[in-house]
Amino acid sequence: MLVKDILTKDYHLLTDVSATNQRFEGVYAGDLLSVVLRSASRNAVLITIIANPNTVAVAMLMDLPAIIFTENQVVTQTMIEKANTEAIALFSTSFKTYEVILDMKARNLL
Amino acid sequence: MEYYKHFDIVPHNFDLAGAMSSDVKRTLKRLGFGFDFIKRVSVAAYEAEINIVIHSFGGYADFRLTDNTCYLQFIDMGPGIADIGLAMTPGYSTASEESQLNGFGAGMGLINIQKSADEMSLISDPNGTVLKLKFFITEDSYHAG
Repeated sequence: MLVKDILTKDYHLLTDVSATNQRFEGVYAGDLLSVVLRSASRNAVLITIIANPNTVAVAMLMDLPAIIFTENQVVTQTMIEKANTEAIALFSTSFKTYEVILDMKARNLL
Repeated sequence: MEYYKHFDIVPHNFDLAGAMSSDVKRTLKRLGFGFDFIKRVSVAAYEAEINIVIHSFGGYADFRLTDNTCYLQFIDMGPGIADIGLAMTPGYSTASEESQLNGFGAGMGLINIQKSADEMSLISDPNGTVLKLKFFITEDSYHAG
């Protein structure tokens, strides 16, 4: 699957289009960054409500190609710039975490 | 091979947190290490860096690489870990509400560090905490995981 396959009218891409051509394998949902560090698989898309520069740092450390911020979390310009530098795609959505998973499953992305 | 870098870590600055561990990761990647080795070192570096940001009055980190060992050392200026045994218990955390809103305070930091490193030493008193980590470099460290 490609990161750009995630895009629909329900997801807003916040970063440059170039990072969306990366492959992803599955997702990991979590809001505690230590647990994400412990458990997320390489190349997974992170689904979380924690929107701060550390979320981007964790994605960078774990080689995660994209982050989906749920429930319309505010994503700052600092985060967007950091993500663009690291080629990590950031999405925001009004969906709750479980709704993103159901939606991606329904679209055969998982 | 001999590589050394020093990093200052600013307390309570969540925007800068992760700068040191990101730098360590980039260096290891550039030197051709495999994903599994990079992940172990950078996860430990990140957790230790975040601990200093969340809990300490400020501190610094040293990153040193030789042919057979990767060393990370973290030193802060206090207030120290009151009970290391409790701090090593999964789920135990003294992190503030601000830290929790930033996604920290799961009580897993030191456990993640211990699991990642090949050797760990942790000394703490009210004047400060010294955490030393060793990761042994073998042929496997260069294999893509």
